[in-house]
Amino acid sequence: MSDPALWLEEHGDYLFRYARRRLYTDELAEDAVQETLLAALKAREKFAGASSERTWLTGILKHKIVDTIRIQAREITAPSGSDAEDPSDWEALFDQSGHWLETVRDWGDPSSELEKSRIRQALDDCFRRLKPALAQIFSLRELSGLGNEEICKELNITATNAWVMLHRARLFLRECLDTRI
Amino acid sequence: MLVTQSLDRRLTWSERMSMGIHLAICDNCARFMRQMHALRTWLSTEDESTQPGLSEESRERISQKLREGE
Repeated sequence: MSDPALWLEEHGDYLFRYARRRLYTDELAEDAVQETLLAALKAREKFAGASSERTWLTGILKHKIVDTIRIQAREITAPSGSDAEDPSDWEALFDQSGHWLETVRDWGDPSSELEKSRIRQALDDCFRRLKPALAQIFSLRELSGLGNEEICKELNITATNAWVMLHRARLFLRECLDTRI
Repeated sequence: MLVTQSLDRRLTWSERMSMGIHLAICDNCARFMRQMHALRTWLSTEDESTQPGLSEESRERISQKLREGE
């Protein structure tokens, strides 16, 4: 195991990018990296060397990310009147019988690396435009791979609520990405 | 909508049947389903190179905290 003083040098950028993709502001990502390294410093005797140092640090970071989202979710659960996102915006995509009002485009399959990278960039931008409550749940589900039960527990919401929020997050990302593909 | 539910839970046999029948007649729904799967695929690839790393200031702040923590 390398000297803890070198961790930041060797893995800092990797950990920050990993966190930045799953949290929606750079500040939260920085804090998560910092807490990860501090926790690793305290627990470094326990590092068995069975995995690489980076894998070990990433494992700690994964927990820190879920912790961060849980704490953030508590802070912003109070519904604010200025919430710009009206659910009816999304329902406007469908007619009363639940059919699509617009034609859904075929996105095709990006073939070149350049194209893939461009889409990834667009997707990250769109993710950051989600309102925080939706970004939180979407991140837990799709970027941290938590199951529905765990998500409900972490965010203290019902299964129906979770489903509705995930649905809205996906529709938002679809709309956002659709203009960039 | 069964399509989005299918992304988060295992559908029952009869739900899968009815989704299959619906997708066969609804082109928009079938394309939507493909878009949802594409989203998931794209999200699962870690593309580190295009993203910014830690700024000098962040690096300095973290480094400071680590020194204090030691």
